[in-house]
Amino acid sequence: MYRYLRLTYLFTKKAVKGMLTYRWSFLINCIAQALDYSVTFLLMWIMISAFENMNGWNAYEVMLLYAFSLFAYGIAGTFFFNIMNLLPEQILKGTFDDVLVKPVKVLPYLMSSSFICNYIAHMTLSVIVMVVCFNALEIQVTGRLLWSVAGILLSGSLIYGGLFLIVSASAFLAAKIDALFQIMYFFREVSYYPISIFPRMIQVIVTTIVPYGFVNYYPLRELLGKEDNAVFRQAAVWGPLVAVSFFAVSCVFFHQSAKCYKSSGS
Amino acid sequence: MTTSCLEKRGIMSFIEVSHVSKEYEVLIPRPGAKNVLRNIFYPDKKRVSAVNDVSFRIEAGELVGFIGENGAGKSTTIKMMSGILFPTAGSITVAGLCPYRRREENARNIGVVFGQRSRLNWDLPMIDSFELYKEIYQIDSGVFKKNVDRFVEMLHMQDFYHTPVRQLSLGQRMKAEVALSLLHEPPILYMDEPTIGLDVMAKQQIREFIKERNRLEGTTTILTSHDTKDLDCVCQRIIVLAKGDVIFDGSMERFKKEYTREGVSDMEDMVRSIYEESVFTEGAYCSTVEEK
Repeated sequence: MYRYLRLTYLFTKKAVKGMLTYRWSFLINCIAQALDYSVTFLLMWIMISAFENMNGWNAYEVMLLYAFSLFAYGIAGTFFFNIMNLLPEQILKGTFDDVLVKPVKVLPYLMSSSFICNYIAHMTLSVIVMVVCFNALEIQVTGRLLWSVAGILLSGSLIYGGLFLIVSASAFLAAKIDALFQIMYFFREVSYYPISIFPRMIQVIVTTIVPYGFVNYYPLRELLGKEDNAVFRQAAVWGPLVAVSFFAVSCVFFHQSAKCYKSSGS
Repeated sequence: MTTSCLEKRGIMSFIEVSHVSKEYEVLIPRPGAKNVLRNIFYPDKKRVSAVNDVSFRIEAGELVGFIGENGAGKSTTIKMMSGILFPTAGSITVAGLCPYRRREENARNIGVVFGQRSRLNWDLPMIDSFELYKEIYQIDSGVFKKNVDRFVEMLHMQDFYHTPVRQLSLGQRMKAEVALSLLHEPPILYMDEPTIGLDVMAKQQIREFIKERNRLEGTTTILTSHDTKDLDCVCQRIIVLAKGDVIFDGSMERFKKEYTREGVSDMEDMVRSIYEESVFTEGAYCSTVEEK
């Protein structure tokens, strides 16, 4: 464990050093990302305040949904996004060989070498939005609330982490994973809104197959005491269990898929 | 764990490859629009054999050259010995370990260079990649410093040691790759076409370096190359692979004696005559031969 933390630190140090050689591109990238998400927040706020509410959720509550999802995505992305981003090409070109000839465990090594800090921007933005929303909703920030929030975010990042892993691992089986990538991001859009506004079928999917519902909607429904007509009304209690088991299954799937690696080239 | 993978030091050779085969499944798409669905759900498959019942033993400290045409199975054999690929049949033992079952432990014993690939951080000087490898292989600081200093000197890398890798020439990069693979002092070194595309000077320096490491540290080295001079200069023993079979295994002298014929004295000509002979024995290729 300690060994991989040290490796993560060293990889990050080298990556930052490398990035600074292209300092303008780094800076522009940061600004672009922050702008992108700020605009999304803004549009959402305009839209919902025009409609007054969505199935009993007001603008601030819907913004909270988005903020929780974004924060969890940020934590998971820090460790897993680059695995999903880089692994397919490594597999296709056969450069994944270089990982296998090193005396390291595959997944911890990939996590160390793919660690990125870009998501700090996402997380800062979502914390600001959370504070603003809790304030506007006149919710007292107590120790108990903070624990719940931490728990929700942790569960959420495990679910996102699991999804990243499943999509990455599919590259061992199918080489090209663009379609799965699309599906993952399509359902992420769904989770930005109270999922009770969607047809029954979609609600079932985001609760069972791609469990985005447990990232933000179900726990916040419980936390804010919402009583809408969702298909699964008692789902919140299962949140932590679903998150942990989903992540565990994803890890197993990753390891099994990695055995199918066939290498290529030279 | 099967018995073939148990440690049997003393009885076994340093590297033992016995009756190893590797087959791949290849999908054969049927042409035509009406076969699109069929190609997706019920594709025709063909099993292609990359390595076919190959056996050899290598003792500690040997310098072995693999010769074979493109696709003869050299890289596949090396990948199985590195623990990257599982053989379809047969077993391999490298320094008492089964490489694909105990990949992590085996990785500490081997250094690997793939000439067609780079593992160096593109934006940073080579020393930064070296430092990462120090951490990955948990190399002792004293050993690390000693090796870096020696490798830089032996491979004449002083002038470009602090230059970002993307500004280096191919030869300079390959020297850094070779140094990288030996930082952790592995007893075994696999090199798959390390001299591809290099100039004469760089080639010569890398050859000398491999020989030097073998002489000083006893590094067992397996080298593949399409440049017969590399093999002639470095290797004491030659293994010739053709279509996944070992067709010659013996010392360099025996190789030369066996394949020196009338008008064939250069090693490159010898290798070509071997390839041509192996084509004659392969039924499927006879038609192309007859056309000549």
